[in-house]
Amino acid sequence: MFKKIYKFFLINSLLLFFIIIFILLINSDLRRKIFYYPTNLINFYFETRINYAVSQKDFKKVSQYLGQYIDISQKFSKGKNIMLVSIFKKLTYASEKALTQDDFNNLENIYKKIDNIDDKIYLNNVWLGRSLIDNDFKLSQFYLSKAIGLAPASEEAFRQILNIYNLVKKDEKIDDFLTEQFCKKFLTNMNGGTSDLINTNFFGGNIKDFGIFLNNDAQNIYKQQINKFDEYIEYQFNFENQKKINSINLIGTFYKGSIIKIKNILLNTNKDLKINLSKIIFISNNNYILKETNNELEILNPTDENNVITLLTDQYENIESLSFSMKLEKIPLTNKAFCISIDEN
Amino acid sequence: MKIKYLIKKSIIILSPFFLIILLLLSFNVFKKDYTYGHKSIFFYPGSIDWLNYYKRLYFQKFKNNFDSKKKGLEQVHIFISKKNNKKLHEDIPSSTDRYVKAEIIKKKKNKIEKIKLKYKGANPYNWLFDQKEIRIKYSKKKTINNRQYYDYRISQSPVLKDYLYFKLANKIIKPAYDVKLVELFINNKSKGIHIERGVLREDFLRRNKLMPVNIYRGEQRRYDDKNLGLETKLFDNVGLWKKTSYLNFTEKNDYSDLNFFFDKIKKSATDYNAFKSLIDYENLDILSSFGAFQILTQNASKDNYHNQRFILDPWSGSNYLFVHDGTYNDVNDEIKLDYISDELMEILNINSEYLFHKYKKIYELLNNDKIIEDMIDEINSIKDAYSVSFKRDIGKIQRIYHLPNKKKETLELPNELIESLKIRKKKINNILTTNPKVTWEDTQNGFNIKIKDQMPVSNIEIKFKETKPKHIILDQNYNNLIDDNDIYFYPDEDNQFLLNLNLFSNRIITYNSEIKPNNIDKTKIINNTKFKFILENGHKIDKISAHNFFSKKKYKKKKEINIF
Repeated sequence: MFKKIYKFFLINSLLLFFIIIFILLINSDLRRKIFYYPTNLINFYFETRINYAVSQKDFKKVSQYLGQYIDISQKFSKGKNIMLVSIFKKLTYASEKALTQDDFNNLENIYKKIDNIDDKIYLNNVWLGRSLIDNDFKLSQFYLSKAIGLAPASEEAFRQILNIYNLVKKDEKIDDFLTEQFCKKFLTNMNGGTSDLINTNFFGGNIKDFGIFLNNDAQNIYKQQINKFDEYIEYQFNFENQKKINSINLIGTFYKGSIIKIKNILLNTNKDLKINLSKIIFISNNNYILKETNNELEILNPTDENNVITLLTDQYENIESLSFSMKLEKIPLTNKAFCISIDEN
Repeated sequence: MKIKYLIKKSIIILSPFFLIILLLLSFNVFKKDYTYGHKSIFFYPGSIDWLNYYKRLYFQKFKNNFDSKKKGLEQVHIFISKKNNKKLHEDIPSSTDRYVKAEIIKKKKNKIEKIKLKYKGANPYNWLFDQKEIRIKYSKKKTINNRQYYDYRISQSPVLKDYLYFKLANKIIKPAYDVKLVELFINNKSKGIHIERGVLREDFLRRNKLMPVNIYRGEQRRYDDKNLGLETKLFDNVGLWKKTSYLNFTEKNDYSDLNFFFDKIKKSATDYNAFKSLIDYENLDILSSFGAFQILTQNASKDNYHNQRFILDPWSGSNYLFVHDGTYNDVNDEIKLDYISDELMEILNINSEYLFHKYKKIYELLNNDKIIEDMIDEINSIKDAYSVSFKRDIGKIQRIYHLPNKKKETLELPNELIESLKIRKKKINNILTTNPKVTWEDTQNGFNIKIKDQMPVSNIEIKFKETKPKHIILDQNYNNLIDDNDIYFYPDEDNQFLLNLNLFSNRIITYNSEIKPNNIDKTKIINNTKFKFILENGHKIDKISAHNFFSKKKYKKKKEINIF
């Protein structure tokens, strides 16, 4: 009797196995979906372990898990492979929670491993520079310089220059390139920023591009580009036909830590059709109002995420063009004393 | 009873063999599929029906055994040992990028030469199917005409379309790849039709009579080229580019010339002096030739994220756009004149000076240089050889499975391409020579001309009813006042007013997919554009006519109802 049941199960299991194999062989769509599961499963396993270790502030464990994660991924495929995005997401999560030098030192070997796989990851260069501050001051500066080369308009590398100063004070001279970048270039650097690991920000992540759309017509965006800081520049938008307007939406990523100033919103380049800014209603997802007058609006932009700033206006008809003046100011990362102290040195 | 027994017995005996075959087949297919779709970063391809691909591939190979002697396209024979072939496949994808030793025989030299070979590119399509994209390298001592590298390019669209595309590029744009269609044999087995071409390196520049200068490569769309965590728009960050050739006196990581070039592009949108310096020297010709090439091939060729190659020559001040990838688009339903796929082309294609030169260039290419006729001759010259090699081509099979929705390739393609070229010429000429949609209207102090068309309104003739003014003024800033920047027109020797102008409609570009998904990310709209002219008081216009710039034919403009 048992023999019969055993035989029945064995044959049916084998049959099932071969049926599954056969289905996967002939159904390429299903195969493509199923083959994503092993990596997703590994990603999920490490995500839970790393998240828990980070919540416990146990960066030794975080480093251990990330090390295992990288080793497994390299067994799948050497070099920059499909799992690197997930690994780096977890590393980003952990690094953002790291505060002390010890935390960064624990993660140093992970940054090095990632650097061996891909040496052009901006944030990895920043963190590797950060972790090396205490034991290899020169190498630390090398990675920060490299990071600035990759994304000159992002602030993370610049913040680490302050950390270097904090550690070495006046005992050692900070690299001229870094101090020049910090004291002279940071507030004017416009090109090259970072982006989300998966989603792309507005206009391909370009922080200089911005645009407007009218009312709810988000599929017709008129684009312009910011080419100068600290100066009012007039931007004009011409429409393909006459429009009825009751709201103006400004979209862009702008610059993290900047002040956007807007004035002189004119319709049809007609001074009689000037929008009174104290009568509009301001709505945004990330921004704050700093100052408002009849003619000028000062907006704080604390993020380089996608921003949509809506200005609800009265209803205007037969509008062919719109213009306004806009100025963008980057907010400094530190007070003036830092650069004065560097100059004195 | 006996038959039933026999069937049962055979099933029992044969089933293990079938199951072993099934297991082996599955293992190979699964391994292949995993390597194709689940290893490369930033690459999420559709599924591939490997089973049917192999079925058709082996059938084609079987047929090729009986049809291998007939000569088709020029043959290139490569010989690679089993050991070295294995090295290329031992750790895909990283192993594909390492050179291994091989030998080559080309028809011209007819002798065996030693080379190094690797597969090319990060796209698994280039090396995971049976027909592979190959780069070969001669040793420096054995180069002829400074040519060390050759690529044997495979195609994702019909190879003849790609060939036509590169041939057009070679005729219109300098420098460009010099391409040849060849049939590649590896270890005496046909690997189908490839495009033989050079590689954009220093030796390429020398062959094209350029000094060794900086060559920049911009790829940020897919695979390991894409930088993790950086914004990917190539025109915004020089850190996203790679230098593939160096100007001797600059440092390897000095990207200042590229930065300067990008600055000029960006400022050109609002600053006319920056635009002037962008088109200075022979750059207007380079840029308008590229635009004409886009129109002829109906292919944008590059965008903000990939296929960008720039050769920046500080000696001549020329900034060359290099055509690296693409195919001839044979569809003629709607002819596109302005491509706005990247930042540079967007800025250029809203500028009337550039548009005018581009349209002139395409008209010259079609009607003076007879480029279409040249291409038709080229296709006719290779048609027979192509047909022979096409029958053996294994590339056409993998293209079906890589992009399954594409039209089936047949031997009719050369004739279809010839037909497409003829229609294209006719359609483009038709657009260029059709009179634009123009109207005029009286105003309180003069008249307006309104144009809503792709083509400009040229050489405007103005007839007055009774008295004629001393001059006509184009009010450049539309303020109804005569300013320093306004342009004056005086009557000619016959006391007639002929305004030697080319007036273009404004192009308005809207972005469609930043917030809501949309298949078309940008749209170019031709705006009804008004040009304001000021007259001295009391002069009445009788009629206004203009000329088509290309056909030179005169046409009368329609009068609109007065606006005052």
